[in-house]
Amino acid sequence: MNTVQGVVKMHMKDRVSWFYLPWIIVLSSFVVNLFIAGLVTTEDQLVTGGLASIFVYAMVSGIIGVHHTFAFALGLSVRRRDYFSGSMMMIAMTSVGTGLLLTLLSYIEMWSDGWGVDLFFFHLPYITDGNAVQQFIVFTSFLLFMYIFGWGISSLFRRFGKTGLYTMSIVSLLIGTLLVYAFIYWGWWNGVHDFFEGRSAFNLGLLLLPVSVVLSFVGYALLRRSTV
Amino acid sequence: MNAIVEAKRLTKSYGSFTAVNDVSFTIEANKIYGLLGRNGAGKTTIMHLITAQLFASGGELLVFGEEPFENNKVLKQTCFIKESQKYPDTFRVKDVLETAAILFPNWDAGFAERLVADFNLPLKRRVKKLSRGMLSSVGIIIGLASRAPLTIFDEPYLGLDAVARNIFYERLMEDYSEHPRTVILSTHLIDEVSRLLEHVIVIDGGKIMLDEEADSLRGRAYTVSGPVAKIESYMAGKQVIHQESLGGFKSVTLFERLGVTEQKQAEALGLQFAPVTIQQLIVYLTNRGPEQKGVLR
Repeated sequence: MNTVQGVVKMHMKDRVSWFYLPWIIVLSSFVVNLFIAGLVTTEDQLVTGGLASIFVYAMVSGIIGVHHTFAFALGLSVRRRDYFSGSMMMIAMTSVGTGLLLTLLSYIEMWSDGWGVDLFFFHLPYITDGNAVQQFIVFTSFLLFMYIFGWGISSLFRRFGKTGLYTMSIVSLLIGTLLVYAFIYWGWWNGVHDFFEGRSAFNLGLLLLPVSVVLSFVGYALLRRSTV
Repeated sequence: MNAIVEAKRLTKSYGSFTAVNDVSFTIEANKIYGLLGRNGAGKTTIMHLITAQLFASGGELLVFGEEPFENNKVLKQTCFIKESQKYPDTFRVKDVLETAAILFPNWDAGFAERLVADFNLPLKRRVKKLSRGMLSSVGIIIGLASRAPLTIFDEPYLGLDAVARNIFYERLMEDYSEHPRTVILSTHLIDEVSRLLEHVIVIDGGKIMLDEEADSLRGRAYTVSGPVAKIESYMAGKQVIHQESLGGFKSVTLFERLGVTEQKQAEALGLQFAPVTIQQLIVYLTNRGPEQKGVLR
């Protein structure tokens, strides 16, 4: 078996973090919402943002994943490139699997009129406006991005330690502040508005894919020079 | 001669601190090496460099004739067991061993199973919950069962009791004779391993102090004792690495080979000889003040 597959199998040993935990979090939020929707007797639909938890979890999982497995894999004579490829395959597979499940749940929710109690947890305005393929791409692309974003943060920590994280936070904060001032001063908000105006979630999901790819290679560049 | 590791003027520095300083050595195939030295001498750094887990600041390092960095051909033949190895928090002993089985091409599952039984390791327990000694035995099992042509153990038995350490030595020797490979063993328990070692490299302050066959090292030094005056006259012009006196008696350890002439001279003076173990020799050599630390002849 080649090493990349070996790395995927290593990740798969941790089914709790990759599969059970995110669904336990989402489904417990869902069950609470279901109870509330069942108890509240208004005519209105109950639309909640509980689904965001799975995206936040994906980022946290990306951060913790590198932290736990990088030193372990290198200790078992895995080269950094194979660790990267295997981990990216695992992230992609998880995102696709989760994306498929979320799309399915979104349809079930739609067909069952919000589980019979007008609860909209998976089928959300704007997010799931498109057809099945488009919904799937939105879910998957955003999950992918969150995993890789977390992965990137953790890779930065592996490469440059605490100093790296602090420096990055301060620099991003400064750049962010300057940008906000620049936006206000030169009135660029219209441009931002024009960019998002009329753009579907599907379209944003597609745009996010190349961003994720670039980000993953930044993570790789950092890990390539990381030591254990 | 078949060189597995060749280091030439290898250097690793962290800012102004030089952990490994201009070190050159060769590790030959199918021998057991002892990489010995005090804490902070640079042993662990050298082992990390061999496995490309750290990057050298200078010099050249070839493992199996190639650069080890990102080189699967080298890494797949190497297994590095270190005391500080990290394991994923959620992994059980079973998960760790199964992952190692996937990643090491020569893994012997039957052997791993026997070792698990030897060390009484609970397979279903999380690695995080293991005692220090059990954690060490996980590393030892991986190191032995992976049968990597180059196997490196860095302080493999922290927290292991004498019985378990003995199991390790026995299994290592048995398996080594059936499946010869190159083993680098770094440890502080030199007396315990000295009978296993075929070659000894001693590192001190980031430099190589000794690089010799273990057999030749055993005759490299000796201790003589007797009345102060006689000892003083005997030790003149010889390389003294340790001395202690008690009342009118003095005992000195000399870093010299005991030749026939010296033996006769000493016998005429009525002095007593004692052999020096490798552990004592290394303690004396690495415990000297800076002014004494000349190059050893």
